Amino acid sequence: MKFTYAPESRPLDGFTIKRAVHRGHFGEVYFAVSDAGKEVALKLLRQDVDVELRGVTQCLNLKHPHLVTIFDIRQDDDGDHWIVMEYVSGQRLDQMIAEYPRGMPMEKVLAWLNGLTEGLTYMHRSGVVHRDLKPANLFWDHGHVKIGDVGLSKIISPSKKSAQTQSVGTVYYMAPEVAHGKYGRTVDVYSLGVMLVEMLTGELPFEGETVAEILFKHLTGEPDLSRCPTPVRSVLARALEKDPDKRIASVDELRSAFERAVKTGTSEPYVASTSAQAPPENSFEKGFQNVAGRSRSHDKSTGLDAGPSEFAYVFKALRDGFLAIVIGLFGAILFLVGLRSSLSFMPLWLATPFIVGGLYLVWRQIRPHYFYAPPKRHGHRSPTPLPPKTNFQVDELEVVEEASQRTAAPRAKSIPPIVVSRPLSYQVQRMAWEMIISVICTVLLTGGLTVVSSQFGVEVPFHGTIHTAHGELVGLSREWDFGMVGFFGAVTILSVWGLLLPIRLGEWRDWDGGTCRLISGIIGIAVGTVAYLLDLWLLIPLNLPEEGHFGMVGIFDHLGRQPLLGVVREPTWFGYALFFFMLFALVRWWKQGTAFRLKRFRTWAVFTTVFASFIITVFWAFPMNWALTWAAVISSVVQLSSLSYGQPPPGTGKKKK
Amino acid sequence: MWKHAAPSSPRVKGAEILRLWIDGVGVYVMSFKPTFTIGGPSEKNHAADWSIWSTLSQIHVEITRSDEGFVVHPAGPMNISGSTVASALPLRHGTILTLTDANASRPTGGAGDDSAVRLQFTQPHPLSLTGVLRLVSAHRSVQTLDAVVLVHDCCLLGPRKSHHIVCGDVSGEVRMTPGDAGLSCRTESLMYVNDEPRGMNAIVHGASTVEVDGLRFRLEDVKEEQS
Repeated sequence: MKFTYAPESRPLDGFTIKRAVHRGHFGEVYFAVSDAGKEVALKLLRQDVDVELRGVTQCLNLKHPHLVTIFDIRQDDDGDHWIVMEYVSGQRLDQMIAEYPRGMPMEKVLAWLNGLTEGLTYMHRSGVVHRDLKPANLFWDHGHVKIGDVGLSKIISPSKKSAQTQSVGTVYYMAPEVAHGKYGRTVDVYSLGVMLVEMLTGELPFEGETVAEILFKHLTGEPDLSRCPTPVRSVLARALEKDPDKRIASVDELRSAFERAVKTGTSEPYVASTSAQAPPENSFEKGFQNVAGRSRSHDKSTGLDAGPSEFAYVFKALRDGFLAIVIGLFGAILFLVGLRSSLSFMPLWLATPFIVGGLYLVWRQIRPHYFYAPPKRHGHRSPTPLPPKTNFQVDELEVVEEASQRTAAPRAKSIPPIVVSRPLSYQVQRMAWEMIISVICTVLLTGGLTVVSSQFGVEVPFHGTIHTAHGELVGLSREWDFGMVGFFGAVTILSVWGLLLPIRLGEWRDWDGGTCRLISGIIGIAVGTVAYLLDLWLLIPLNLPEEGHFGMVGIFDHLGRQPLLGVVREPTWFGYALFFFMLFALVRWWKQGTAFRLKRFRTWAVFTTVFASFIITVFWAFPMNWALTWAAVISSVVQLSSLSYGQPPPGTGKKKK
Repeated sequence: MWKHAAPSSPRVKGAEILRLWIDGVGVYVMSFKPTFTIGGPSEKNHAADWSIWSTLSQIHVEITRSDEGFVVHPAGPMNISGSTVASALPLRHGTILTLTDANASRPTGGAGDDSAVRLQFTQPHPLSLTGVLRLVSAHRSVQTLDAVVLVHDCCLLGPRKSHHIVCGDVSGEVRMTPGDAGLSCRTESLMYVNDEPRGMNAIVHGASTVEVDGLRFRLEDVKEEQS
């Protein structure tokens, strides 16, 4: 590891660097000696200087035997900021945990817990929450616990109820509410709970192959405490509560309960102290939202909440997804019809309701998923047994990933993308289940769409159409064409299977986006080829009318010299191959089907896919009604059939160990 | 009583004790002296080679190098595994020395005695007699120190537990052997001494910065440092 400054450098007046100690996201730490002989640690800030300085400035005058003392903040001639702090030479907690892979002795755990409680209680009483507790930040310095790296600490005051600007903390130890940016001192209780589990068992309660999977487990998963000593399980379960209101209120309370459980050796469920005993909470903490946001049945045997059944989960997602597609598609068609009409025969004032209404319907489907709606306070529960309605979208996720990388200090189990690999049998079994589920979803969605569209007279591909002798569209036939329905369903299933393959392989082999797009595109050509052959065999009347759909016939009807449409304006092999290639390569399917996504179904993803399909058909001639419907259904089925790691394959138990 | 062989003469030209600052690893002292002393804090001129913040006497214990290894000579109260040691004793791998207050009114050094200084002696490499001394009690060195390497034949830096100084991030091994010309430093890849390429074998002295295979360390002569 290369460091900026060599031994004997004097970047800061009065201090001589003797050696480099560590490099983290924020910068580099050096061991230095002052001209008078005082040994100090010098932290050179390189990244997120403002964040670090803000945290350190707050704690500059905090003094406690269990906190790493900060002496000063200095600036060198280059304008770089340096933090002068106490040098702590002892063993870090992560190093000690590594020494005991099956769990530390209880007396050592209690010694750490005591020291940490003293330091954290002092911080909390001073109105500061640490926010980045992790074993790599904690030192056993000649018999004393020292809490370091207060750079991410945050003042908790009643006036700061608003959400923080970014998520912080290290993902393995991060409380679920941190993702939402509203939190108080109980995030430190949660982190301490995680570390206690790790100290006792040598394993983290929530592990995963990626940051997203770990976050997902923090948000939804129940910690596996079976390896912890029985007496302390209920205490740890309360320390790891997702809902901050249900969690143990303070680190001191956690220590008392933990010690009591160890001394008495009983496994009585932990009962929180009364309000008279509990330390006063400020209004900031009272503002905690119900992060889990779901009603869950309470398992009396374990004291833990049980999640909803797999069936209920799939059914609800299927229903919501289906409704979202129908309403959203209807809105989009309404909008396009209005737009087209206003440009031709219909006056604008008459077309406006179509346009506005269509846009509103689309907006209604997008809004709940794309924009953050603050949840209600105090125990508000969603009436349906759904997984958490998190608004933890991709952007926020990336911030947390960044933060986790920033704060990840070297430890035995740092945060590489791959921590543990799942056995191949599990992957195959999961893939098989996904293929089966995709068939069911396709049948349900295709059938449902057929029925609904015939009722509302919406033009979807697999209805017979009534044309004049000159080929003009007069209306829709009420009759279903089973050949067309079968063709549509078969190509959809083939597409979903074809897309699931690169999605799963991409997760396994850690492919980047470009590789995923390329592989998906090649599979798209294969799917297009099969669709073309099926079309030839079944003689599907899949034609692009002369006037096109919504007035759009495609800017290009040739690919080089190769025509995209045949003599009766049916797609040629090039037409099919190009459309499916573009659809598969343009859309980020791996995001829709990743096992680490935080929401099973995202309506916005369906609309993105439909829009991509629309753009493709605007440029290259292909029947738009088929293209849009395929895009919507394939996207929906990919999402609905892709199991996340929170949902193991049916028949393999609730948790895959 | 066990009779130890006569201590060998110093074998590194100039320096008797080198301090080793290793980036990302720690700070170590390499002693080439035939006799290494340990004691409590005191004035510079009377200080032991390794001063520990404690109530030990100025020179509480001496460790001498013999042809078979190292021998401990107590100059103050000391026990090993609960048995008081009053005379010279050879040190074996894993031995824990408990050094207690010379002026204590009652016997100290028991399991619950926090004032007793505990040092562990190890010889991690099976083919080397070089020993490593570490503080295992909650005491501090007067100057920060992770361990003392009592060099007998060589000092090995590398990633394995059998190396005298374990450097986790390094793939190769650095072998330092004392000699008349200085400290011979041998590596498995190109080495830079004070930013100059020196091949895979070089003689280094105090006040040298060595870089090899992602590892950087600086050697300082403790005597020069103190002066």
